[in-house]
Amino acid sequence: MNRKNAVSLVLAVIAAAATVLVTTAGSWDRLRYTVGAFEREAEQRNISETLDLFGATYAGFYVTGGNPEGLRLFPAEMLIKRRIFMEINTYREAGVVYALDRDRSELKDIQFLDLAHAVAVADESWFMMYQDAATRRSLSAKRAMFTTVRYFLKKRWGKWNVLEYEVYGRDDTLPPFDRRRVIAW
Amino acid sequence: MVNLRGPARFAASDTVLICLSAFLGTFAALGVLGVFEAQGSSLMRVLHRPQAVAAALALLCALAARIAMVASARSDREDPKSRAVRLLFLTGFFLCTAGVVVSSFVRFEGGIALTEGQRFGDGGTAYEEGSVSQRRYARAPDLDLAMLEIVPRIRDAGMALRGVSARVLHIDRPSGAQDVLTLRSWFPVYRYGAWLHIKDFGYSPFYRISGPSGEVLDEAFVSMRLFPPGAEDSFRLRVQPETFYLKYYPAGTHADALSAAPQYRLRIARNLDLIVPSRAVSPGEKVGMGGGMAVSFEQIRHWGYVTIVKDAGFTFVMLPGAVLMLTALTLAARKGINVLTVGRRQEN
Repeated sequence: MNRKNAVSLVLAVIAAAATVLVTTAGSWDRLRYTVGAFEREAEQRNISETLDLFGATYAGFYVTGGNPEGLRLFPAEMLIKRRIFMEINTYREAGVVYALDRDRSELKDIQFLDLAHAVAVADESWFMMYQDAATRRSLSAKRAMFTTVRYFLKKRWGKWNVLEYEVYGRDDTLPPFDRRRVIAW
Repeated sequence: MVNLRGPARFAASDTVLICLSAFLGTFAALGVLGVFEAQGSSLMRVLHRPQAVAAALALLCALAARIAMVASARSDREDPKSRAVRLLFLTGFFLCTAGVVVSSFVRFEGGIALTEGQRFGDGGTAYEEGSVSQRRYARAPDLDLAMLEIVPRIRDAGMALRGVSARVLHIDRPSGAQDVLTLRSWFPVYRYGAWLHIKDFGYSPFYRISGPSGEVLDEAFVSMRLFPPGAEDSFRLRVQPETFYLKYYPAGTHADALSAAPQYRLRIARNLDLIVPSRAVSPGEKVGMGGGMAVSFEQIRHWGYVTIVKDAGFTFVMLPGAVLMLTALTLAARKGINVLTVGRRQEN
């Protein structure tokens, strides 16, 4: 191959890369993620705050017997909200409140899959008891639950949202997750 | 010799061919590898993007000009056999490129995880959501299939998959005639106007949710990624907040298994509440979920992921083109002919 053709080859490769960069949605974000050009610590703090809000609002829904006031600010996908209220409605029909209180949440790990997807693992401690909905009299002993939760988050319009989560016992080994499936959510 | 003028002569030059081929190849590689994207795509989906189709069209024009030049070269300037091999290669290259363009208009692609005994088409199961890619003039193949049997070929003491084969029943709707087709993971099969390929394997346990009186509230097979043993997957029911996390160990295949018999490992969460911590479960054993409800896993079958592709551009244009190119390269290698470069002597 002569010099002219070699130069043409290199220019064609550069043109192809530039075309992909310019015409593919999210390519600049992907490039920023690959070279690490994003504020990792700030995003980690944002995710931590999101999970704090998630836990507090989650408990609030149960404790109030399904008051939807916090729904707009609840950082979760619609299906998560629906499943929570499915459960609360079951209790409401039985005249019971499932009083939840999150004692501790310790964030163990946050992994960024790209600028808009992250996976966070937290050890959580909860206390719960059943109460009569009308009188708030205890219907059961207070019970403690210790779990490890893996949260899958997506950033939309500048805010992190919980897409999905997996619940494990403290002694369970967390299996690997399908990265492609998470990014495709 | 055809005296190519100005633009046509330029189009037939090494420089243009190299530029366009390199552009298309690099664009395809970047798309498949997902270098600037969240994840890569399949080669055909990348080649169907407007940028790739535009480059392919330009390459077609350049190849056509090149073929015209080579075809009309005077024999005293070039060995006829060498010219024939180069023409064969260029024609194959032209057909491959033309196939990409045709495929971008007519390709249909879809996938489905089929459990043994499950039927696809004719009111049965539909394609998996997100798996269908249908170009503008594409039509889905009219197939009525039933999965009869899936046989995984397993190695490393049951921990790795070497390959999968499946027997599939095809029902021809107009006549009602039936025939059995064998699919293999190492190569797709072309039947009924489409390419069928089995690509993946897993287990479909049969769950049963029973009520306080033992009445069956819900039951079905659910396709889960439970291979290799120890892999965990989960499922939910549409109207329930519970999540069922499951592992499957066929006949004592994992150190975790408590016995030599097939075992499940089950964990159930209701939203963030772990209502059933991780425990071993035997087939048929009922596990209480609270509220008088119980879940059991009765039997297990195999599922295989079948992809169905109908693409006239690939089948009737690209494939013959690839055969021609491979033939030309084989002949060129034997006779010491370089098909990739054409000296300037042919362009005079």
